[in-house]
Amino acid sequence: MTTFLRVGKLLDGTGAAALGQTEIQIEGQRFVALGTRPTPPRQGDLVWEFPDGVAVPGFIDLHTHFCYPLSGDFQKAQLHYNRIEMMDLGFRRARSWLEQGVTTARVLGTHFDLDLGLRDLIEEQPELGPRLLCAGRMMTMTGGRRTPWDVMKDEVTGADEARRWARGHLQEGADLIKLYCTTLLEEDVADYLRRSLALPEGAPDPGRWASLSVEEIRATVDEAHKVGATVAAHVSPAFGVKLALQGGVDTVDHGTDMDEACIDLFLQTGATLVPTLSVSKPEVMEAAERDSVYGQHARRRWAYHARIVNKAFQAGVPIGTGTDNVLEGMAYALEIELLVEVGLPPMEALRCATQRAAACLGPRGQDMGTIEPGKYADVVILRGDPLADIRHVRQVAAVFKGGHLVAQPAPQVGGEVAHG
Amino acid sequence: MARLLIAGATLVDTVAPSPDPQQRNLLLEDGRIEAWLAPDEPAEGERLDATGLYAIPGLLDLHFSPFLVGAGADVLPHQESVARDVQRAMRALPVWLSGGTTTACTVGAWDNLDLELRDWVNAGKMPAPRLFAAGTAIGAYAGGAWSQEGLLLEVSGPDEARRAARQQIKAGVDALVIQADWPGVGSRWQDHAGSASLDLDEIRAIVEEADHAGVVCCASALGERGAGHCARAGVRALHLTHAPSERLLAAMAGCGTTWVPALAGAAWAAEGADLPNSEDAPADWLSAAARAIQGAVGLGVPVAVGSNARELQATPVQECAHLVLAGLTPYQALQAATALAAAVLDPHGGTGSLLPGRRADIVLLEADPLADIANLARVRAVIHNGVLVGQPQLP
Repeated sequence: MTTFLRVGKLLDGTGAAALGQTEIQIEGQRFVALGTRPTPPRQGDLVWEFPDGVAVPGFIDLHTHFCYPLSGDFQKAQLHYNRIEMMDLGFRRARSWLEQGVTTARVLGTHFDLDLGLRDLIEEQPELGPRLLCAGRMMTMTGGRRTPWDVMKDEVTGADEARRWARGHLQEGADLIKLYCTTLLEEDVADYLRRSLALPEGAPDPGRWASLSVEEIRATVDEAHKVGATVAAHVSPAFGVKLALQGGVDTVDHGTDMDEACIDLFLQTGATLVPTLSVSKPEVMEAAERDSVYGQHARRRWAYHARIVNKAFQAGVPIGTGTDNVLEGMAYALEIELLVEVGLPPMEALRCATQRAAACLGPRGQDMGTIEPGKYADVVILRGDPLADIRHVRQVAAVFKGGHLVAQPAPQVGGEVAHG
Repeated sequence: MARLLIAGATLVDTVAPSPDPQQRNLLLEDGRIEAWLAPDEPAEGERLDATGLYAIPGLLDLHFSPFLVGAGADVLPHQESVARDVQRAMRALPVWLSGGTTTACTVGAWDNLDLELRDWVNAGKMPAPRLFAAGTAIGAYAGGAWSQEGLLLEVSGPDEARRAARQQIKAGVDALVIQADWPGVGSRWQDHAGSASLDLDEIRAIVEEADHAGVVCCASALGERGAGHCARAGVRALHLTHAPSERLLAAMAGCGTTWVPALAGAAWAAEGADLPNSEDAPADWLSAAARAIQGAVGLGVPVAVGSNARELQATPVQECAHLVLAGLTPYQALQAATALAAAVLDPHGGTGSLLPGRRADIVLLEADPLADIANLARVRAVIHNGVLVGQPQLP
């Protein structure tokens, strides 16, 4: 049985110019051919017509936390966790992200490894959500858990312990490893932000920090790469970004306060920057957090973060989209729009969401990210051309994952995106 | 104050002084049944026309394993993942509620996961029966299949049994549940020959702690000896996976122990070839259970409804039908699902009857369940905590 997708326009994710009317041929889960003329279907073939639709590769979100509980202050570990609440969020966010066109997502840190079960369930029931690559629990340095109840992280000291932890965690079923590379050693993050805001711009950071060592990071990366897994590093300050890159991580996530010296290191190691602009954006923080200091701090830091991401892009650092979707009301498309806002051309922002994101997924990523024969048939049909107006990435008409139609969201009114 | 008048229904209640159905309007206020009114008596508030319908109390399920509904007979709790357990529960709970089960006691969960489900559900996060959570079962160290899977709080001796009971009470269980025994060589549990069972003094310690804390103590027993210990120790409700002897039934009658036969769950499990709960052919087991149920009624052993369901089709409604097949009258079956189950689970909370002062958990049926128990399945509407329940939405 062959599935034919006939679309008005196609952007294949490689950066090549748009194709006009195209027929995409799918066998099983994969693309087999692209053509300009309709093939006469045989008995049992499926034909989908989107004459006004623009096909782009299925989006990839490199930084999600589908099961992360809502607390009103996302920096605070909760005293009591409810796994039913976490799974309920997991089911709803996974489905919502799929409807927004995300066909693959990395889950970077989940209490009790709940994401691994969600991943297996989605393998069986594809319409539940994006294909998941899961980190399960995170690794951090001794003392790096902000409270004793911060059960999402395990603590290690030394390369040998890091190696042992990585081996065990990969055996338990993690697809990749999430390192919590730097930790702010402050019980009260809001208080730290207030102190920080009281200082003039450019003053030394008033926080106390801890970091994994290069040796600990390197041992973890070594173990992950041996089994075809990758390593994602949560890290914000410049010194931490350098340690993570020296340790050989595959992605640096956030990197909010990185400097230009970091950019050179990125280019040397080939690591991908996942700037998670969505959680730096002041408006997002202001809408989600009860304490206004988060919004005020984001407002001060936004211009710097936007500038350094732009510089990294200009220098040739690979960039990937990641939303860090722990806040209510977030939308995947916003991350693509923000990449355009900080200065990436729409075509490049689209590649960050597809081809470039796939490139940092290790061997698994070779199967996705572009619309080319041999890859997973992950396709998003948009109602308008994102190169003409990037906000068209919100206008999702249909989502195909592994060759199957998994979502057909209702049209969005006024450019607004509904999210679960 | 939220007021609702259910007008025109025929009330069928097994606690009301008269066993005959009565034509009364039900006045509901703030989640409780406020009064029975004569058809022409005026009442303020919203009015729900139930003319021609039959009102029964919301049903109870004393033996509900939501994480296993749909898992089939062979799966143990948490054999796969929390995600799968939660997905099963989220599919089962609305089905139970829309079928008329408004209160249930969860048993046999892994790692007390049902306590979190109870908190979630009772906070109104999804359409579901009101849950009482019994948490993970307490059983003997090295006690059979469940112990191998880490599904038991394993104890050796009365002190450890007491400690486990205290820990469960501290964790917030609404009931304590005991896995009493694993009969040895020569029984149908051959595969687990050599597995340990709880002794009488261990069960007594657990029941004593339950009594102090005011939580009910229930148990599952596979054999006569374990069941006998439970009855003598004062366990309130006993789920048996065998047809009890006359002698055991007499002991249960003497100790006031309620029997939860869970026939529907066993019958559905029998549809699959591998029935773990029976050494006999399923039909033989069911007919033996039917004879025992008639014996229980003769001796005055209360029989109550628990689904022990592994399938969406084995709800308390199906259990009532099985109880009637086994020889109970429709009235007795309805009593088993309402008043008698409530007497175990919620003796002061006010479920299980339509009398004024009780919780406003009401099922409106299209036809008289006392005429034909199958009419329990003809649900027109369910009112839970005084609020009309919508149709289920499956995740």
